[in-house]
Amino acid sequence: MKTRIKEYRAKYDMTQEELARRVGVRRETVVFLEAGKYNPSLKLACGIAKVLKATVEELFVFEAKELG
Amino acid sequence: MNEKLSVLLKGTVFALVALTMLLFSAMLFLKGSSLYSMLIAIIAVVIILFGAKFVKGRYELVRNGIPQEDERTDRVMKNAGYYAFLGTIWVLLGLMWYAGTGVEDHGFPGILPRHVAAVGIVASAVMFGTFYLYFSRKEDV
Repeated sequence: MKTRIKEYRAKYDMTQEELARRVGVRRETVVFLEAGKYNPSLKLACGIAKVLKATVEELFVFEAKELG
Repeated sequence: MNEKLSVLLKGTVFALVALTMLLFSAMLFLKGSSLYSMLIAIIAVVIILFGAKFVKGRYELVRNGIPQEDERTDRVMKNAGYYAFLGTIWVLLGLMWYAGTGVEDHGFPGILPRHVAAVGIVASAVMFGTFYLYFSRKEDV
């Protein structure tokens, strides 16, 4: 999984800590998410998409084989 | 629960555990068992240091408006609990073998029930801590 969270966060000049605070998670979770190393719940994915004014599909990019 | 109160309660638990161990260590020292007394005192100091770092970290999070726990830490806790539970069962099975076959057939020194309980508690705590550290650094949980 690849994510574009970092790119969108930069677009809104938002720190990892600020994003973490706004979606109610720890900063480490944002770090893992940005690195594509954590598969979030649908609720968290939607929360991040809402804060970054994007869609879930724009933020989380899966390769076809990852989706089965 | 109020986040600051939650941090205070966690700090109190660390302090009480360390205090109990220090008292136990003092009792052992007075009974003349200085080696075990020192060992337990060292463990108590490690708990105090770890607890202070833990509480400070949690307090910083609360002060910055960041939750202490989130869905990832929940998954880490559940995984660590699951594997610590399985590991403790294996440790207790090992002790059962030791207390039965080991002592009776191989002449190993006998163990008291309180030792079995102590090993079970310590093993589960150590395994939970180890698995917690492992899963908190693991890429996907």
